[in-house]
Amino acid sequence: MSDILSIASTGVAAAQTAINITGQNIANVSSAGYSREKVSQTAAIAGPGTQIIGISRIYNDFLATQANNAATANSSSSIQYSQIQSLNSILTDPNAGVSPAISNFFNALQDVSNSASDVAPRQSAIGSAQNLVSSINYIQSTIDGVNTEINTQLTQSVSRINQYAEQIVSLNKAIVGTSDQATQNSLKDQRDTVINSLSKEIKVTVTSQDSQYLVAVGNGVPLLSASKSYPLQLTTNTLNLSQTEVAMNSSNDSIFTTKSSPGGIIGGLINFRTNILNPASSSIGLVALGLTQQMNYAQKQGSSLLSVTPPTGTDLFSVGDILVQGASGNQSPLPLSVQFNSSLSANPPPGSPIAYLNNVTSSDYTFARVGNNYTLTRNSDGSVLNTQTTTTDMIADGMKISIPNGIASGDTFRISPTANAGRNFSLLTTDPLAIAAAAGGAGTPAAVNAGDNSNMVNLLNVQNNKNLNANANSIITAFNQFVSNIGSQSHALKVQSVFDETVAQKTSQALENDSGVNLDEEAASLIRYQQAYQASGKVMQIAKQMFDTILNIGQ
Amino acid sequence: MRISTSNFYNNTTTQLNELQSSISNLATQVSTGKKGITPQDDPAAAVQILSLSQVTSADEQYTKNRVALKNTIGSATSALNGMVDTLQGVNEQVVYGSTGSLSNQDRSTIATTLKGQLSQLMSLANANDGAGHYLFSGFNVASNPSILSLTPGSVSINGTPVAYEQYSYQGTSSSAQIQVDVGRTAGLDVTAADIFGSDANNFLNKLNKAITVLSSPSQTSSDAITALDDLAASFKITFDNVLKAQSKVGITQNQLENIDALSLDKGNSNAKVLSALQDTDYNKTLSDLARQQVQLQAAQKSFQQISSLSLFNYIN
Repeated sequence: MSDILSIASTGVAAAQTAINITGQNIANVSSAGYSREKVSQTAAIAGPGTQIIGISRIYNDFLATQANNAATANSSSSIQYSQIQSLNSILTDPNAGVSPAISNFFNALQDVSNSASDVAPRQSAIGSAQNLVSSINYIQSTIDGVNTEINTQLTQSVSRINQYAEQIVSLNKAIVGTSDQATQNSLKDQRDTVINSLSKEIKVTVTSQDSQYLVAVGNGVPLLSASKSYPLQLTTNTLNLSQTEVAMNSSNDSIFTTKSSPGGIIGGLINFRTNILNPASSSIGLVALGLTQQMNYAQKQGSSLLSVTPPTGTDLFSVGDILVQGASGNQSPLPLSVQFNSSLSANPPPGSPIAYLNNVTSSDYTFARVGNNYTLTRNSDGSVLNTQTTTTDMIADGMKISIPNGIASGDTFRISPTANAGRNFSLLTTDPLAIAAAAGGAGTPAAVNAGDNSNMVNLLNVQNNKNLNANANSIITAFNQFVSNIGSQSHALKVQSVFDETVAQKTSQALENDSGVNLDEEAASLIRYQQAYQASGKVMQIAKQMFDTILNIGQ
Repeated sequence: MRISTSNFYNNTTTQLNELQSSISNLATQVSTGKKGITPQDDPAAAVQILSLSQVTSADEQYTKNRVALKNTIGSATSALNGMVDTLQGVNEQVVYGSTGSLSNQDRSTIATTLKGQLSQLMSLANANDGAGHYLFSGFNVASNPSILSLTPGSVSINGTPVAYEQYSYQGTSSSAQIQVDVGRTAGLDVTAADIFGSDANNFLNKLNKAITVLSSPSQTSSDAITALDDLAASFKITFDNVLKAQSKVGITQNQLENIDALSLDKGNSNAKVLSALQDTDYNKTLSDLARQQVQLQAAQKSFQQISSLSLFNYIN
């Protein structure tokens, strides 16, 4: 009889535990990262009755890894997509962009050509030139703003990664420190949630060892062992001081690059900066350089109305010089002097002094001494343009590099011919009389005819002359190509980020569908365990009745 | 397949959000009349829009340039017509003056008429475009094409040299060329020197010399005939020059009108392409909008109905 009662009591106890767990599941139906729990019940091993052998946490590591990898890919493409938006949105404004500013400037020059002796159209041409300068400056400052933003985001991301690493280490310790299964389950939920957050920042590889996690990021850089984290470091690019980089340790040699993309927000930002932002800066710089050099050259072909002797036209625009940056680790402090090849040609030159423009590219270059060899490499395609053992001037891609004696082996320089062009693009004069509309060669201001517009054709031709990219582009088509490049990259990122987002959604849904709570299921469990409880209760009642029957026999 | 309850709600919210965002996008297209294409939506179309806008802007400028040149040609044509009339008047006086039976008094009257005509020709040669730019001075639009010379001429009247004012051309031989179409320039290309001559023997000087002789009380009949013959010879060349100039500006005018017609066609077709690229297709957009509204309503209704299905409704 006591057997029946004890059997029934194990049943009641088991049903109660199961109802508790069901209640816990129902209470957490909306909790993010909660993995539903399930009781495992078997017949009691020692003696009759039933027993709860465990409260298992429904969590599929395979689905979790898929969801985390998808989150890494998604945050990489979506951060790039959101960064390119600031470029995409400013490029096609039909009223405020560079393209209408170029049109307006040349239209204003046409008006000067129509009445070269009048000051009003000259004044308005100078005004249009100022607009053109500010529209290009605006794009450049937007690009610079995005660069600063990327530095900030890299800093924030690294700080989050290091915090997550600390959290995982302490959760590791807490999990092995407790024997309570419910507490363990809750800690594991927390740890897996942190791993998922970490996956958004950078590619994560998790190895489980005695219910502790060991985590590597990027391509196998250890972030934490079971009990210790190895924080990532921030550093500055040795060849570009405006760029923040992420290093695996304090050494600058171990920074993350696009070649071994670490993925996630870190990888996305580095990728965007290398493949989209820096080329964009150089492309808009090439437009500014092309406009400046050609307009200034056309100015020199004519005469202005200024009272200077001789009244030969002077430069209208100016652009930033070629950017040369010696690596911070260079042994020799000697600077490298790089100029456009034209600045050295005689005046008047045998050919056009701006013929070099066609050879200028918007790529960056790396100049290095390795052993006794001086080498120039074009970064865009990795081709080695020049290798020599002497310090004679190196001429390549429209540039002339003067090599000082004393550069040490291993010293490296970055050369960006157009990266600074748009940044320091400016108008040199606001005097309407400076426009050299009249024919050149006048010896004195008195010899210049105010109504002479013969040189305007040279100034106007700058609009469509194909003097850029090996005679392939005019300043207008070079700008259009820049817009088209940003558009295509932006479009590709849009498609990629929509795809990655869908995959991230599907995989996290698959994980959630497996681990998450279904209320109908819990309702069924509730009914099921309620009935089990009631049934065991009934057994107790019957046992009591049976006992009563025996007791009543004597009466 | 097992679906967690929170996924059911999340999925529905995501779908409703997407529909709402798509409807909002369509509504923007309807209200702005533009597709709102950015380079990422369609890189090729965005660049085509830029190129077409650039071409259109340049064409509008060429049209403006042609209007300016046509205005100049219009002013020049009236001045040339005035020259024809005045020159014909001069010719009548020359023919009348060359008849043998005139007295000095008669010739002095002719001289007075010719003086008026000379001043008229001077004013026509110095005609401006209404904005103060001289028409027939080449690049020297800001100065008179013909002004009084510092070295006076001399004519022998009855054996005695008499001084008279000489005119000389102060302009340049080339005129401003302006761009009237892609790769095409044109200008007025008529100067006072083309019409009257640029040296001391120019028509205006001959006219003034004749006036000086005919108005002199001491003139002989032979002085008068010599001066008038000389003027008559110069007249033929000058009159011919004016007719040539008329025909030259007429041809330029015709060319400009031809370009206008072609440019209008080109402008219309560019505008059509631009409109197709960037303007809202109302038929398609409104129909999409109606369809998606129905879809959103259906999604909302089914969400409401499905979410009310729960086993808990049956647990008492």
